Amino acid sequence: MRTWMLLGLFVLGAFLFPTLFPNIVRADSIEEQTRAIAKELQCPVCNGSTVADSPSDLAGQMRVVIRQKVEAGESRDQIIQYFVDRYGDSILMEPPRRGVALAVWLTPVVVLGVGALILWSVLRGWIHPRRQSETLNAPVESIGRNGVASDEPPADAAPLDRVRGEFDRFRREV
Amino acid sequence: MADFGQIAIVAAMVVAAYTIIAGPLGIRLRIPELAVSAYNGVFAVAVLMTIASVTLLTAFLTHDYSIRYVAEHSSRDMPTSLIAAAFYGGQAGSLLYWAWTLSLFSAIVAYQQRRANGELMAYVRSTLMVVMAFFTLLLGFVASPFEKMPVIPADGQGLNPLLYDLGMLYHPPMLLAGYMSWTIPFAFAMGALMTGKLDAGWIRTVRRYALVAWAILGIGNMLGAWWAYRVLGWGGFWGWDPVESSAFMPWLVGTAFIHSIMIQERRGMLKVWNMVLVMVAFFLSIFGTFVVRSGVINSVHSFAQSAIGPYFLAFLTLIVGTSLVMLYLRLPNLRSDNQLDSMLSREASFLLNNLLFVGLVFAIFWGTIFPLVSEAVQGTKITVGPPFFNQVAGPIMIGLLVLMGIGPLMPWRKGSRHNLIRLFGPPALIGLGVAVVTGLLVGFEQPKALAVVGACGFVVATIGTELLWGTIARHHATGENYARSLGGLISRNNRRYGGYIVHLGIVMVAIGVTAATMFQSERTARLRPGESLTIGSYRLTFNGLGQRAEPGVQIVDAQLALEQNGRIIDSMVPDRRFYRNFERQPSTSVAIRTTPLEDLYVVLTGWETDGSASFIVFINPLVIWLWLGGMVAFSGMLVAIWPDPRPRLVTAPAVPRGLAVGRA
Repeated sequence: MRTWMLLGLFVLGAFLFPTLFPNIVRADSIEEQTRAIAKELQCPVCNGSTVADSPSDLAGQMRVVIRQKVEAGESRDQIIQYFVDRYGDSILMEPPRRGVALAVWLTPVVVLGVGALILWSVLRGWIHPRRQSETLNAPVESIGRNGVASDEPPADAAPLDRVRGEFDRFRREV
Repeated sequence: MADFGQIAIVAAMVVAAYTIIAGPLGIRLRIPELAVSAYNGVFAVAVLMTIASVTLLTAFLTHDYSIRYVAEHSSRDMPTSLIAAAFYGGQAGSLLYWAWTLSLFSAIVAYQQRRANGELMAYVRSTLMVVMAFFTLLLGFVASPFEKMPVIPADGQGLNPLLYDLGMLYHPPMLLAGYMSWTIPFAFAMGALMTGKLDAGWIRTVRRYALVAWAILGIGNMLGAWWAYRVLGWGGFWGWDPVESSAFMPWLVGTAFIHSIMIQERRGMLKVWNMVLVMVAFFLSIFGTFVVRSGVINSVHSFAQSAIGPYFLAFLTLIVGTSLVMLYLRLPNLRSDNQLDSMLSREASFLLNNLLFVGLVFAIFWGTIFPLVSEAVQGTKITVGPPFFNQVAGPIMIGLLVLMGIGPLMPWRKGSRHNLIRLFGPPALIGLGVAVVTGLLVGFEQPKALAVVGACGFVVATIGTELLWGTIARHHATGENYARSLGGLISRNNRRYGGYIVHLGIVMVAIGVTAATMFQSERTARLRPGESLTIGSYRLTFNGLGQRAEPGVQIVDAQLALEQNGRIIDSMVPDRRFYRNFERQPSTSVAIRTTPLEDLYVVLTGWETDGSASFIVFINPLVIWLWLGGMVAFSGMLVAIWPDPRPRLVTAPAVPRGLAVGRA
């Protein structure tokens, strides 16, 4: 049982593993480097658009500054730091992974992890009591040739419930 | 005229308030007349709201600028279709539209369920009318669309230029109606809680309404992306803007809900959880309606500044409070009928699906409100831009994609290991193969994209084997030819196969989104007439600027000849438009050339006095599959809710499961 869970996690992990790698942005020309950096900065006077995409005058001036710095041979990090020094962290489109902003990164991971733990323990709690008493008698529904389960009400439902269910369904459709 | 509309709204509020009380009271005190009058009240509200809406529409079409809302959102030179669309171009009008569609949906639900359980429906109608009363209260006294102008202007101010687009006609009404329609599942949940009729009955009734709400909101989101792609001119279709995220969240919760109600329907489990999901979906819908219409996310302060802010806050508190109290009171009645048999079961995989959906919504919600949080805690606003959402939401979405292949094939209750290997082994290999082949074709620099492609291959392979085995088995059982077998398979199991079609649509969307965002290429250039730029296999030659005027708008356009492989194949004419009263914010009109493989997307960004012009040009691969995927998903939903034509009074005797393919 456990090995199968592990195998399942492994398959899921194999698909998720690549997401750990950063996106590689290839920027060769000055033009492209300028634009790539401008895309990482938020236009300070507009809502939500980047320096690269904003039509505002300020964004235009900032693009000129970035371009000059790229031409002068400054690195991406230096240029970004230059703007952070002047405008603060809020200029970054991607929240920094430090200070208060670290909370925005960590909380979803923590919540998802805690949720997974809760789900796991709830599932185990649901499975175990039954296993001791009934498993041997419980009808185990195997899958058909084509791997699908039946669409019928569960076979162990009381006959009256099943009839009532069918009747409800009929009434609903008429 | 304004008074007429105002009176209709206030009257609707009074009738709604009456209905809230009269319905349950009539049932409790056994006064049939009272109960019937409450039932009729729902229709009266619908009529009154229709009168109010038609009044506002008439005011728009007759240019009645004595009404402030009409004067501020339309002008005489706008085309008629846009004048009509300006109805929902501002806050008051879109709230009226929301309330109006709610009144219509309430009437439809009341009529469709007129023979259903009277007590349950009385509370369902009451809940609907509580929401109705809230919106009519806002419309009547806080944000009235019928407020008058002190002086009647000769012409109106016109509409925000961004809204001058075909998308404006379709996107807002779909989105607002999508928000609105989650009221109905919520009303059923509250009805079930209040009457204590917590069996599978309400779940079965609510399924179709939830699917419809899910589809309307989904289309609203999709049209929003389409509108952004065509109008905003930055080459993308989704920017994780707070307004977009707010529309996406209830849809995601709704998606979790329509999956997990299947477990309750089949196994009598997860009753509390489903209640919570439908409450959250409704809560997020109201929250979304508010965010769309207020700009609250930009700053904490706008909460206080916007007139409707405190009302929405109070209403959201009321919803959460009532929901939690009702849930708590009914907890003992919500116990599961069944227990889980195995981790290797459909139930368990659906629960994992729910965890991922809720985790995803939490991450988006948290990222959306974090600027507010950091402003409150620290005093400075941290920007949470698309890179955050892509990095956090991306992996969860890939996980959901993989689950989309696993979940539907997992047997209920307990799967045997042997079968699971046989079931998932080949599709997993196919998925891996697809990822590797794609890697060989486009390179391995973007592992995330390959993960998406692999997961999509896996999903398609699982659905494909399902259809294949099902068709073959049915062919052998009935002797029909393969095409008829496939048709019969789908039509006799519309819920299951409708779901598969939706999944295929989602796969197409995933491929389109991944390709267009991760393999986008772009060029910026300033060209003098006669100069050209190349991007991909295209060569664009600039042939000069033109200028023309249309009613209310000045247009500057750029003529570009498009060559591919040395042959001129098309001309691209991007332009910029200067609308009267909005000259300072010109809108762009993007030239887009769509092929099945890629979109060429040309934006005119500016020009100089010497006749040169600057452009930004994108190649967005596979974008069309995003829109087509949306259509496929929608058609799958239609298949899934199509009423089952077979009356099934008697349960067929137990057929050996392996043979029950036609009904599987």
